[in-house]
Amino acid sequence: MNRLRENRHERYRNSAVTMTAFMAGAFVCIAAILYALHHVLAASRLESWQLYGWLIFAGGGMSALAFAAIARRIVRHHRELRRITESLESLASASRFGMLERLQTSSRFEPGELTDALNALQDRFAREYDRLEKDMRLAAQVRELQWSETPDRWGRWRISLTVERKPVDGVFLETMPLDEDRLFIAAGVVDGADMPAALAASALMMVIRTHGEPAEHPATWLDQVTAWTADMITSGLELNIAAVTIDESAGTVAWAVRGRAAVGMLRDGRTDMFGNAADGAGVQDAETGCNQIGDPAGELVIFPGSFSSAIRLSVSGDKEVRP
Amino acid sequence: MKRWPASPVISLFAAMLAALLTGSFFIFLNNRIIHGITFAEQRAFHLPLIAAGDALLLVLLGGLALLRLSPVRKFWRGGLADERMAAFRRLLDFPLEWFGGLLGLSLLLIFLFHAVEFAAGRISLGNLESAAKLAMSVNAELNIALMLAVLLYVFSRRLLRTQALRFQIHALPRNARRSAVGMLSVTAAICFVIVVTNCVRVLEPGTTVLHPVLDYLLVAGPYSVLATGIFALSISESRKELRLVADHLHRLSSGGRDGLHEMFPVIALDETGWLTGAWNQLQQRVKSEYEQVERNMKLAHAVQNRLLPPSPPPVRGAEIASVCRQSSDVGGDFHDWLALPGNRLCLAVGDVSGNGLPAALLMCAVMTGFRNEAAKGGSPGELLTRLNRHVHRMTRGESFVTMAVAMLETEGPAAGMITVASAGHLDPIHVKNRHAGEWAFSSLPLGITPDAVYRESARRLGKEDVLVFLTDGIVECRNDSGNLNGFDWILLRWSQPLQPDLPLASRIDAIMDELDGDYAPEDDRTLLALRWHGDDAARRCFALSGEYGAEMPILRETEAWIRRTLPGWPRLDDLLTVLSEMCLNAIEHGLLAETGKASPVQVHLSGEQIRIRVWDCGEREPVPAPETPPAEKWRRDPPRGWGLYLINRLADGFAFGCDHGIVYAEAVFTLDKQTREEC
Repeated sequence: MNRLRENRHERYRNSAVTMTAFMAGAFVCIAAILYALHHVLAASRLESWQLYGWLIFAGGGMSALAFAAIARRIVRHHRELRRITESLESLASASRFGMLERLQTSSRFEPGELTDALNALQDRFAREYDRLEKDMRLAAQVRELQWSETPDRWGRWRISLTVERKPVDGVFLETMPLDEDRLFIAAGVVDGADMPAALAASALMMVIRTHGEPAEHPATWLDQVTAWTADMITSGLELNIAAVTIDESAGTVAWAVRGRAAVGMLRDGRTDMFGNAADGAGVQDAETGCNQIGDPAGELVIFPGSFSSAIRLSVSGDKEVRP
Repeated sequence: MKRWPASPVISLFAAMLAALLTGSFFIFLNNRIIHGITFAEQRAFHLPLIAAGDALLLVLLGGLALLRLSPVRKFWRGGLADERMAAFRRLLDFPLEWFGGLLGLSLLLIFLFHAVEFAAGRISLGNLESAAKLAMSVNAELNIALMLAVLLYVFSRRLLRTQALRFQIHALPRNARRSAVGMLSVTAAICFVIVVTNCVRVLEPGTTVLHPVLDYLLVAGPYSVLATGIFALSISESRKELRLVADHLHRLSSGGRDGLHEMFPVIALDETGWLTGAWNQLQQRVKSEYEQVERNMKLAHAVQNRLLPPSPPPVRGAEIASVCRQSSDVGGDFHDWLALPGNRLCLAVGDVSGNGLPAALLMCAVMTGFRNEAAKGGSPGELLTRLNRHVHRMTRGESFVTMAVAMLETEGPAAGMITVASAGHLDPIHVKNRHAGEWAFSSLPLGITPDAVYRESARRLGKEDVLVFLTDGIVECRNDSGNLNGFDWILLRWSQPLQPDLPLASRIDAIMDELDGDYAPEDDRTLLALRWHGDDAARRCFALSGEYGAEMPILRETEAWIRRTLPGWPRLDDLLTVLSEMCLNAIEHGLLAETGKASPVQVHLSGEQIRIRVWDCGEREPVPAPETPPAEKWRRDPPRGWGLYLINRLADGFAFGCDHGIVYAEAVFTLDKQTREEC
């Protein structure tokens, strides 16, 4: 590794040595030319002040030329450094992937070496990001696979979903027809950072699926599920869940909500909220109830954790379709 | 409070003094060699003037240093945080100010000196020759002033760099930015002026000392070397600052993960400083991105960790130990145990394909699914068959899980009977009479097809038999030479004799430590072992986790066992008190600080005594039990300090020991003759 690093360093030149060598060369040349010029001018029997005038003019001219060359090199060297600085500043304000762009250089001196070092470091970051991104991509695939296939219709109800989801997050939904007349829906959101919330939601979905048939009232089911998953909901996470059983034969909707989940019925242009645990002064305890669906039925809306996501069940009028 | 150290100020003054003395020496030499003024004459006229000039320069430049650097001194004596940047800028601006100050004052002094000379009638401007001579003299003095100014600039910059580092400034505001181009160009120009003027000066006719060429070489050569040296010094100082940044970057790009987001303090206001500031800005950004991910991963780790069981339940006749180490914060390995109704113990070990977050998502689901399904009852094969359907529904065949489930009968006529079903998992290892062999299974992993049926196989465990479940991370890890350790490696580890007295956990820890030491962790690793002592065994083995109340199941199980085995034994309460104190000591003084660890606890009933052993999870020096009640301590802190004293008084023997490098505490209760006979 050290050997590689040394080789990489050797590819670039030392600007201080190069410029100093140039200066030394320029001094030698100027001194030699001045001496030669002095000999030539001395032979032409010029006045002393004329001789010195010529010598100073010639020395000044040669110095100006050499100075212009060295100043150009100094300016280019520092311009390259400023360019790297600007690139770094724009990288720092870029998006996550923009930050991993490689810097370009044509310098054979320290700016080139510096660019190489920065690019090597960018490569390291890129590898780390790649690993994370790959993990997130695979995690999103797993979450997508885990997502329950919700039927479009159940009995006379048409089911539509408006669920705001990120590739990896804590949203979960499970629809279970219990028998001919009863449909059970559990929907919720584990609030918190995406990754831990997704882990908790993943476990919750399996709990819901393997827990067996929900109890008589969703409230009992919700208590059991909450107890099962209490260990997983660590600090920094919050469980919002709504459990609803629609019983067509009894004409009722039994519900239980927890956290910011809510259940309501849209009827005649107004919303009749059945349960909203976070209603009022931010109450987070579970709330339960059982309401009549009524006839004609309105649109049953389940909000799993925020009002931007909703599971809507509206009457389609077609009683024959069964999932 | 950090203090402004005296050394830089003293160094600055010393550098200035040295520069002035060198300058004066050069003027003396110049007067002697070029103008032919004797030292005696110089002592009479030039020396007092030059000394006065030097003293004036010293006072004025010293005063400038004290004045301009006073905000810096003030800041280090307890300045406010918002004064930091101002003090920093003042510090780094100072070398340039000093350069300008020295040059300006030198010009003034040169003018004053020659004015005095003129007033004293030592020089005249009446003819061209005198004027030229004066010009030559001024030129020589100016050259010396320029050289010294540049040198002083370079040295002061170098001296103040260490002070600049102490400020730990990581960003440079735009209005504080300077460019190094100006000063480097000025230095180059000064060098050309020095060389050209001295070359021309030495070509003055009629001043030949040795030989025209030799004279020329002797003057032009050293001046060229001097000018080159000054330029080299100046540019290499500038480059050195850049190199510090480049080396820092090289170190970061080739180093480990530690310090990857380390920032580098700004040490200059020029392009190097801009670059450092911009780099730090990028580092800050990358760091914040990383920190967010790390925070999430830590929380995810906590969620996953809370799903894994803390410590095995007390099981009659069996001892369980396990370790699960994920290769990253989260992973796909898991293990679990559940005490089921009907004196059955259900054990599971699983491994989700892949690793990291995707595997962890599935792992959480499978673990909760396993618990739900196990609670519903059924044999291991039925349990896996049911679980497979759920996993397949969840993964739709895109991902799979290998899993082994074992069900152990702990009491009754079937005690020791273990039924195992495997879903494509590594074969368990059955250790019997020091012989470790595979218990072969052939089956599909969970999630491949919904209709998979899992067959099971049953064996009766003999006394001190061990059954080991493991994941592929144990056998598929590679050492530094790139060799896989393979299944034989683990078989060999379990073929080594395992003393009944030594807790199973110590063997598992030793294997995992060996893996951690020799093999790079590429995959998650899980090892779960079950040792069967027999339901009539004279030994009960437990695992004590690091939370208050963890000792309660151990006490209950021990009480029930002793009541059964030694009915009416009068010292049972004493034994339970001692056991409770020993467990609490282990929790308070070790386990609480070691998250996720468990200490083995053994209660061993032999013909003549009952021996309690509690192993330590750390490597602490045991504390001797007090001979007398710690009365003073009780008064000060009543509920504390009883433990060891009580244990010492209630037990017939108490000692600390060490077995295979692990420290344990042991209490002994001797059984009287009547009890022994009844027993």
